Amino acid sequence: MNPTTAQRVHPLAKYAALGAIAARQTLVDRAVLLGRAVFIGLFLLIFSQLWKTVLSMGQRGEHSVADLVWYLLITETVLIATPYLHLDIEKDIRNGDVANHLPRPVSYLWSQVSQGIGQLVVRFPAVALCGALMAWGLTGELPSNPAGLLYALPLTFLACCAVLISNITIGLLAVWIVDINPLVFVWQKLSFILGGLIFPMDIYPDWLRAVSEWTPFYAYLYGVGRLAYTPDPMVALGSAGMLLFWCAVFVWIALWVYRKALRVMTISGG
Amino acid sequence: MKKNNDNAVSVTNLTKTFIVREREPGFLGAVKGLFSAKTREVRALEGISLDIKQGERVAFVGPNGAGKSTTIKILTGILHPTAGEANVLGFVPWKDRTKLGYHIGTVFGQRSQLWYHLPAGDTFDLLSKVYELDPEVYRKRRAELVEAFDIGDLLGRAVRQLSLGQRMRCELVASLLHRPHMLFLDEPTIGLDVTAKAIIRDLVRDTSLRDGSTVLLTSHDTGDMERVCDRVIVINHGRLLLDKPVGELRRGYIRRKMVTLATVEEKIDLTLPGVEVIESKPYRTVVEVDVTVTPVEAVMQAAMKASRLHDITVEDPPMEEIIKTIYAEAREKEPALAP
Repeated sequence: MNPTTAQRVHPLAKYAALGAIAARQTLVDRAVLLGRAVFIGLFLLIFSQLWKTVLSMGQRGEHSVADLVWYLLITETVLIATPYLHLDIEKDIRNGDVANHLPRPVSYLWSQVSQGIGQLVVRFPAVALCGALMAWGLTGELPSNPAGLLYALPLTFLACCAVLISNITIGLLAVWIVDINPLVFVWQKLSFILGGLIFPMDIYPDWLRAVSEWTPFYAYLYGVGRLAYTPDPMVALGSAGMLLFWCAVFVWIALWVYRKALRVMTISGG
Repeated sequence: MKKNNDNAVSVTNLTKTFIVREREPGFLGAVKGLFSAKTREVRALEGISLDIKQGERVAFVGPNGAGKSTTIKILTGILHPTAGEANVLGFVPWKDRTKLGYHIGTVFGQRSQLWYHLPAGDTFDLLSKVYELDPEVYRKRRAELVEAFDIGDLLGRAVRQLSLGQRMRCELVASLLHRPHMLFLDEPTIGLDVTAKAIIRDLVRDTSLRDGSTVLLTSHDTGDMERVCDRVIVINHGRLLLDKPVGELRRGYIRRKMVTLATVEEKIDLTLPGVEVIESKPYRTVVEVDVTVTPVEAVMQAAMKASRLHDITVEDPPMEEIIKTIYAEAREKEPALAP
């Protein structure tokens, strides 16, 4: 605590303030917000056509086109609404901007988390709302059992938080690997395949689904996406449990990586 | 603060060595690098010692790679030294970085702490929370700084819409909100035009005098050190070359003076040892005088004998020249350290 000031401000208020200013900047930076909303719209347009074609060719599965499009809306929202903080952190480390942050009485890691959540608070409703309007416009209907969407809404936000923390951890790895792009590429592809970004995991081969269940990708994509057509409270509870577990794991890894990264930066200058 | 003596900064035998990985050039070199890590030691600081009194304004000058930034990073707690001791405002920076953070302000000229798409006032509000300022204390301090830095009409504009000079005034206010006892300024006037530089220099000096805050300024612009600081520390190759008051530096290192003669006659003939004509135009002659060979008074007397004079001006060489002289002397003493 600063001894020159009255002790009336709670230390946690600084992180809330960081989140609030990040939310304000996200609101002002309309181009990025609009870009993400347009992207999810385009994505849903393309894949809704694809699913319509596949299902009209007699490839009937257990899901309707509407189920699959609403599933896509959830999984894509997780990836599109989450801020790409790994890129900002990599830039901070590469050009030395991190030196601007470290002398302040605030943790760089938690300030990034706060700012990420602040951005997410604005992006999540914008992307989800645009996506939902598009999904409804394209299919003309809600999923076969829309009650699942009520469970999906908070869990999709939680999934975004899990992805956010993993992004921050990847960004911090720039202290060692300098260019994180190859790592991001591999991580994203694993997300797409093992998370079931485009195809629900229940149409995957059993062995691949079994492997996927042990990964965080399953929890933050398929785990919440399936709620679009599975309005079962127990399934939602299972998804929430998996997400909380992976959030805890990601936070633990982020703290460990941050401590190591800080040590490298303070010893070798980054 | 823990410390009771007059020093804001005390540094003893501060040493910093970086281990740098070396890679051979070409594809083969890249492949080799995967299996064997060749490293090299780079000594950024070689046992520097210095004290800075509270309220002093000190310029830390040196060429690129001299060790200025490394020293500042150690003193702000961003870097750990390899050896030596440092104490800033009673704190060991690398052990008490967070506590020290409440008492220091930093401005890195090439890096902004302001939120780009938002008005600077939003960043000020954020920093008041970061530094846990009492809302009433903050309101008063902000009003005081807004007036002193004349940024009242800038507060409603997004930072991206400000000129570099306006932005730098806002950066300084952001760094001063929590009334830091010590201000670290790294190239605060870089990229600014002459007028904006003058404004920033005066503001830094006035604020330091008003608040009694200590300033440690690094800059390549000798104007910053002349206008803001009372003392200059010159560093090169991680060693202190010189530590003197600014005025003494001028007096001790001025070997040459520029004398401009406005004459009634079209030309003037001045042939004296140590005097070199730099510019010769009708009715105006500029000579450079080596004062160790011929004193300026002798040149003036000779000029008055040779021609009738309308005007005569004597100027010191720019501070840049003085610094170059210091480096050259260091090079002569220790050729191995030549930049």
